[in-house]
Amino acid sequence: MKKRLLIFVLLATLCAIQTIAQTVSGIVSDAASGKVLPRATCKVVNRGDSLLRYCIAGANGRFSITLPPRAAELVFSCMGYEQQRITIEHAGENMEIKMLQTSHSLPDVIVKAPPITKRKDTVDYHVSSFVDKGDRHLEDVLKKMPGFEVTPDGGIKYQGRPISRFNIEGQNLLGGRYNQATRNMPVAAVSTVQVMENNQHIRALKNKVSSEETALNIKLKKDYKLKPFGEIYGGGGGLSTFLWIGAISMLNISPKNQTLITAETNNLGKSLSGEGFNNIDLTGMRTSHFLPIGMLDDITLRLLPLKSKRYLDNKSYSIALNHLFVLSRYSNLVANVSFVDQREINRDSIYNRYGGQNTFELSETDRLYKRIYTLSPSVKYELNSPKLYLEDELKGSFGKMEIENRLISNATALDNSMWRRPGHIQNHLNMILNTGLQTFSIRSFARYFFDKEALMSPTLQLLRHGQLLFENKVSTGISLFRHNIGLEYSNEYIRNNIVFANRSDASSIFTHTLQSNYTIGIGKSSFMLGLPINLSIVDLQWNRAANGKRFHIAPSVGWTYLPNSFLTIRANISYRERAGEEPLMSQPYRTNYRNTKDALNRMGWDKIWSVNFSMSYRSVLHLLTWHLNGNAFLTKSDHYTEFSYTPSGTRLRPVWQPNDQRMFYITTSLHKVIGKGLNLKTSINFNRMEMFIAQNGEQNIYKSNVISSMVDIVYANLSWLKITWSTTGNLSWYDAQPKSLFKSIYTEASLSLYPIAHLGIDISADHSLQEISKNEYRSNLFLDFSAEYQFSKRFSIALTVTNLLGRKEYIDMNRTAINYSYFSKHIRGREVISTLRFSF
Amino acid sequence: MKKTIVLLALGLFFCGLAASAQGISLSGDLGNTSTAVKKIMFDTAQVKLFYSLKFKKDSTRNDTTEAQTVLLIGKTHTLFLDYYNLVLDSIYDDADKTKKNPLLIMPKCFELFAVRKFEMYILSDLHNDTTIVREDAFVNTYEYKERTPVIDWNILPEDSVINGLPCGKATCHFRGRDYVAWYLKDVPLPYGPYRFNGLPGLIAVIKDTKGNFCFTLNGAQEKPRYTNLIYLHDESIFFTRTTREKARQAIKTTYEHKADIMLQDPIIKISPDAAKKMDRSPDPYNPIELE
Repeated sequence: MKKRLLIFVLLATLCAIQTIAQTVSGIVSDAASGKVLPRATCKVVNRGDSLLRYCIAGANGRFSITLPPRAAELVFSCMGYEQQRITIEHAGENMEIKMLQTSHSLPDVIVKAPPITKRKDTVDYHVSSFVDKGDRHLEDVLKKMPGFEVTPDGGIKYQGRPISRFNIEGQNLLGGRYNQATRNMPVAAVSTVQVMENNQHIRALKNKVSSEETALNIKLKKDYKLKPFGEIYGGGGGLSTFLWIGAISMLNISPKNQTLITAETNNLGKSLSGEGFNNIDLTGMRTSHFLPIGMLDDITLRLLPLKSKRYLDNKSYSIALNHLFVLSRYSNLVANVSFVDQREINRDSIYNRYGGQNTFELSETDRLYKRIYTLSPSVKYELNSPKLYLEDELKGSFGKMEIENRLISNATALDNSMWRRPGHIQNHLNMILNTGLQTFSIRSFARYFFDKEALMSPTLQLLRHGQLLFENKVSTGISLFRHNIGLEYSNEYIRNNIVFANRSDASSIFTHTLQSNYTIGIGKSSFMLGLPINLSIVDLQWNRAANGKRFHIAPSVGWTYLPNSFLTIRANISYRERAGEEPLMSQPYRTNYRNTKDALNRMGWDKIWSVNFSMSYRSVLHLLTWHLNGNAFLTKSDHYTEFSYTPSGTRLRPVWQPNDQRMFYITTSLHKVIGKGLNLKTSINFNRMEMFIAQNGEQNIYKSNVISSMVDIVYANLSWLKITWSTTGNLSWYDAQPKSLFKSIYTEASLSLYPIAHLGIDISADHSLQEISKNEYRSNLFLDFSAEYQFSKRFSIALTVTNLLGRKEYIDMNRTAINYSYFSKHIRGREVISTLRFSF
Repeated sequence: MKKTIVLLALGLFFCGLAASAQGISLSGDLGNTSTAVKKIMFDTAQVKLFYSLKFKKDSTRNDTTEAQTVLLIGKTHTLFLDYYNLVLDSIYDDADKTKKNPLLIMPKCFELFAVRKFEMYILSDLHNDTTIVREDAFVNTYEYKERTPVIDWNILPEDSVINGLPCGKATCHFRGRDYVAWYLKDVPLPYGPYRFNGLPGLIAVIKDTKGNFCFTLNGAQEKPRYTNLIYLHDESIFFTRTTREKARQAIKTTYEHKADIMLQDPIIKISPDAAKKMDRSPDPYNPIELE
């Protein structure tokens, strides 16, 4: 009886549930047109938005679904329409769901694209195939792509050669300052890095003049176009002093405009001035002449194999604004402006032993304060049409530098103070006209550089340096015997004027060059022949005896062989003569508290022979690139500088005697991506230099040799672990000096762990092991720790501890020919900082 | 001319297979110079989705073959096929349009023949819920039509993120194999590769539990401008329309007796010497549909 009763109760309950279960139905249609929408999705979700049941509307737009228990909402969705949510209370039979159209499109749903695809001269690197956990900006991924190399200043090399152009969605917003983009653009925004080899970006020269340039184009994901994106981060901390860091970067890419704004401040040792930041043109310079460097020097600028965050006490502020206006299909206008204010303190202690017939020892303890302001604006117009190419760029920089070094030199307290006010303004015009049969090109560059320099202490000395530079070039290309011959006339005028001690020393060099280039293509080879003929006129108003004319030729032969799509072979032989770039003056001047320089009183000349050979192999299929590059130079100079170190000071004096310098450099590198998770880069290079040195009464040729080898590994095969390891070993010695063999090893390694979702932990180490004296090694180890928690898609918080071991000094040794220096650098102590990052 | 290319391709394919080149000759009309593909049009794609396919030709071995497939979704029809078939047709059409010498496109066509790996065409009629399946088996093409199968999906309460996009998990049993699928929750397209459809989001990854077939979404285009037509080739002399059961049986027989079928072909002539040297062993047969 009991059993029957139980069955009855169960049946009754089931019937009750059946009556409670509600079926909803209806039709889905377009709100605007009223047309039914087939295949719309109708989902039933609970209060936590979890899917309980779903159905797909039929071809007639009709749907019908039974509501399960805990149903809270109906969610209707259809491609190209806004999602619509209806609560269960409003659901019923014969519903009419009107869907509103939206511009929402397919997301970038690439789940697994082939890492690299190649089409003619364009290679597409699909970023998703190279991204690992912890990669934040584009530069992090570029470093791992086969064939790419990123230099410490942010410059990009492809197959060992610097890229010539960096475009974002086909537009050149940043020119040579593209490291602003690669170091700030979130990698999540980038879909593809396109490499265009042999890229002739000038339309008027397309199919007329071949180009060996390589251009990069960054393609963004759809979600990152037409709306600003970027990130803001900031933080503070410190154990003894207050530390801060703050940065904002914002990029907006649309078909008519592109904008990049970056601003940054920190006192964590990250330098924002100098060539590493916004100021260098990484795609090559408009002229072969660098901006003159200051004639005074601040003593402690020693290059260390150490990151500035380890030793630099700074307060840095920078802002850079870049905007590109697309004016028409073929033209655009780009405006850039950047401002940097950097204050820094360097502390070090150095022992120098200068060899020669008389050995001199100098010990210095420096505390150098430096403040630099630089404002760099530029405006560029570019018209790149099939008939006419026109580019004009107006650019300048205005700066101020204050330097004060309180030092102890061989037990004497001194103050070495100075200031500089350098600036320049330049205009570059490039025009190419394509008439169909011929092309005509005009290139003009004009620059005025001005600098006021003052040595304030220990003696007062005022210098003013002005330099005017003009470069003009006209060229045309014609076809001769079915091959292209280029004819070019160019001239170059450099006038320097140095005002010192109530005397104005003006000097100028005016060079005219007539040049022909002939390119012959035979099968898979092409040969380039160049024969520039130069006439230089030197004019020194204060030393008429040194004036004169000089004819010189600069022949070159180049060969490029492309047997297949994998291999590229290039060779080049050239000869040229080069006028010196040192300032010419009639009287000696002091460069710092103890150095006095006898300037050149006539133009010095170098004769340079060079041979270059390179071979590159790239297999897209095997994600393998291999590169070999060899260079040999012979430079014959008509003068050298003699150094004389004495207790009263150092004298630098030019000696007009011919001398030779030889250099040989060979490097080979291999980059292989092994699956997605293992990235291997290795290189080995050998550098040999023969140099004439005259010092402290001794004159000799010293032959130095350096072998350097690097292995760089990134392992990211496991979702919770990433390891990077980079070791460089060096071996250096001088010929005929058996005791001069020294060894050093530098290692950077990091271990990244992702133990739970959204948490990343990094432990990184920098280690150097140097041979300080024979068989005596000095080890410098730095450990850093950081943890970052991504608590939403946009926000993350991080804690960083640098220099965990609390090192206070860095010791290193440097040996060059007959000189030896041993120095210790003051190191920033252990520091803790926490940062908050917001991506938008 | 297309026929010429097909016949030459067959000849080359055959060379590689078994016999010496001297043993083969081709007969047939090679004089037709039109390269255009005759098409039966159905629709124009609104969305084009790319799926890479990794599959085992032989279920007893571990090595896999990779194919690039494409799903074209129109308003009334969908078409799933090997991507390189679309590319080949576009090359034929372009050569016809520009009056290009067919010999110039042959090297490219041979390259594409070599990379085609998925030999089925699946055309689904969304209004009438019917599907036409065409499958190439050596020389012949078999076609059958059936009701579009309704797949009984089991939605699992597991979530994942693939390439930054939230995904849901579902399983199903379809014609002899068990599958696990991940679908994109935020892409309301109830479609997927091959014949898989009916999930509340676009299928991103689907694979069978024994590792024989794995489709992975690797590209998407909305309103594609090129190769966007949903069509089937007009019937050729190698075409057979039949029922699903008969087509499956014929294809299975082709794999088991490929050499015999070649020898019986009225177009390809094989010399007796070459025939003697032919490999008579059956080709591995591992169809995606076991039942």
